[in-house]
Amino acid sequence: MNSIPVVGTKPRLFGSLAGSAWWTKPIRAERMAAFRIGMGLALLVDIFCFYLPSVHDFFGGNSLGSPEIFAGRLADFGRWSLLGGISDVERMRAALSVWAAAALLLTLGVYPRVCAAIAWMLAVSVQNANFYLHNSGDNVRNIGLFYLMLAPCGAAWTLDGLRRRLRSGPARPVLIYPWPVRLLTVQLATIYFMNGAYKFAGGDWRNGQVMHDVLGHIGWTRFPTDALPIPEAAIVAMTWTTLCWELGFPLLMLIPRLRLPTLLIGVSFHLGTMALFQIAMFPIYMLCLYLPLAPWEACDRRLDGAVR
Amino acid sequence: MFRLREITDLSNVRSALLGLLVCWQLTFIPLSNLVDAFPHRTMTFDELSELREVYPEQRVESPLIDLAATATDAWSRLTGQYQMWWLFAPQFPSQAVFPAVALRWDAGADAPPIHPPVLLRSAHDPADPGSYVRVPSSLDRLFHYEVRLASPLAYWKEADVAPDQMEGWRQFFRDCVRRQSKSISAYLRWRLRTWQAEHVGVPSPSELILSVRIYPTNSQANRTAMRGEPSEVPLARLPLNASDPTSDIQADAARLEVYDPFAKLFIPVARDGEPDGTEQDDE
Repeated sequence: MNSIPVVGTKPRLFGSLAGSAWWTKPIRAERMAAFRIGMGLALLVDIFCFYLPSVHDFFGGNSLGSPEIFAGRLADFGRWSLLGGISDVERMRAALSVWAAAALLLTLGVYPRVCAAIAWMLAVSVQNANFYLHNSGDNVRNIGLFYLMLAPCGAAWTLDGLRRRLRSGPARPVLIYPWPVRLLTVQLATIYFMNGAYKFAGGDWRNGQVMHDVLGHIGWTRFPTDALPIPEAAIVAMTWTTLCWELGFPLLMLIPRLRLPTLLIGVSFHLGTMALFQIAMFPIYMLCLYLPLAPWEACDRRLDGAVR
Repeated sequence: MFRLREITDLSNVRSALLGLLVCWQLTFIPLSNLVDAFPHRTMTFDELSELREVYPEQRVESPLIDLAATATDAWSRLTGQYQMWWLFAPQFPSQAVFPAVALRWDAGADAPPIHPPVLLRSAHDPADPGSYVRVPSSLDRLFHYEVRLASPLAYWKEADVAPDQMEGWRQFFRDCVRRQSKSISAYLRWRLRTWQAEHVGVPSPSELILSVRIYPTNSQANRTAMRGEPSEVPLARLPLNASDPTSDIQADAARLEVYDPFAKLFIPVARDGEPDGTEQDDE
């Protein structure tokens, strides 16, 4: 293992972090590469399916995102948008095209950190240009792109790497320092724990009835679920499973034997919410946070086999 | 003691900065979530924001929380890492709300209306609540916009309002419309423009009314029962100036009126302080 190169800057950590193998022992670069590709593809879907078809309605003068609506909010300390004062919808369309190009190049691994930086700047800018279109999934998008901008996400699975591999055979494995994957894991655990904590504060969550209101809500649901034969016991079980799983997520992830089932519950939870509820890209971006946790190096060995 | 070469070595600087960033992120993520458990941001009457804001009297007074919030809020805004994780929590409303826009033409006291009233329902407001399919699309994002306009009435049940709660609800209606006056005006104008594009030649209406259509969720015992007609509650009215059909969001926002759900009247809302009751108009 010693001969495997480590790519990227080694962070100078302090205190117990510096002595923790979880924070310091390099990991395979495929973990961040998978995250990069997932985020890039998700962003492409987001731009082409969730923004561009309605760009005239969402941005520019005389739209739902007319610059003067959120101009006051842009005066808040620290808040910014490169697109804040733009009234011309064609300029907004051009910005979305640049965003899409950055997402595509990020996916392919062409100047990935530069592309991640452009994508992150435009993600924050678009969100602040018309905040009302967005939800927590877009915060996950900002967070993901922020880490991709700073982390060595182009150390594996890039277009150049694929070309080299086709020309010269299997690529040497590459390692990266684990900090971006660890911070993303901490963020993931925080998201679930806080969701669970806020839910626990609600009486209808604690008494197990809230899933009835959620599933019967004709605004959030993608189709009416009234006709589905869901017994009351199942409603209570769904409510409590969600609550316990979210609150317990950080602890469950610390137990190696429970890690995989915990993540599989999460994947099915997000696929279910994607099918049931109008929550835009939230489930997709959340699923992207799972990507660095999978052992992608095994796939890389299979890819090498295919190339040979 | 650091040697000069160590200090000026770019890789050392990068390494130290990255280390600081990692440590700060590790502090920021839990701290930002923790301070949000203590309501501390005073409400700004300038549209909603990603961060939770409360009335001044609900604010938790603590210099420590203020200090932590100042740092974490600034970093959230700077990097877009807003830590707001409360999907469908802590409460979930037992009724669905959709905004609708009514166009009305008033020709004067004795003259007949120029055009019959028109009600523009939301694209998400189902024609049949028992049968609809919403495919993931940009309409999902429009839904989020509309939720922010209509959600003030997600918990509104007029029959349940006790007399001592009426003034609180009046104030709530006023605050919501005052706070979102620009987005409400933009939404009203956007719906009007879309309608006018399909109805060329029809004169401009004299007023636009934002209403909220409320569909109660069936109870668990009656979950398969047919849903009744939704109730419709006005929220805001924008009188239009016939001599000046051009739209300006700031001017529209200043003219916006809020509905008093008990007196059934619209009241001007743009000024600071209490609305002037003498300028009330009938619905």
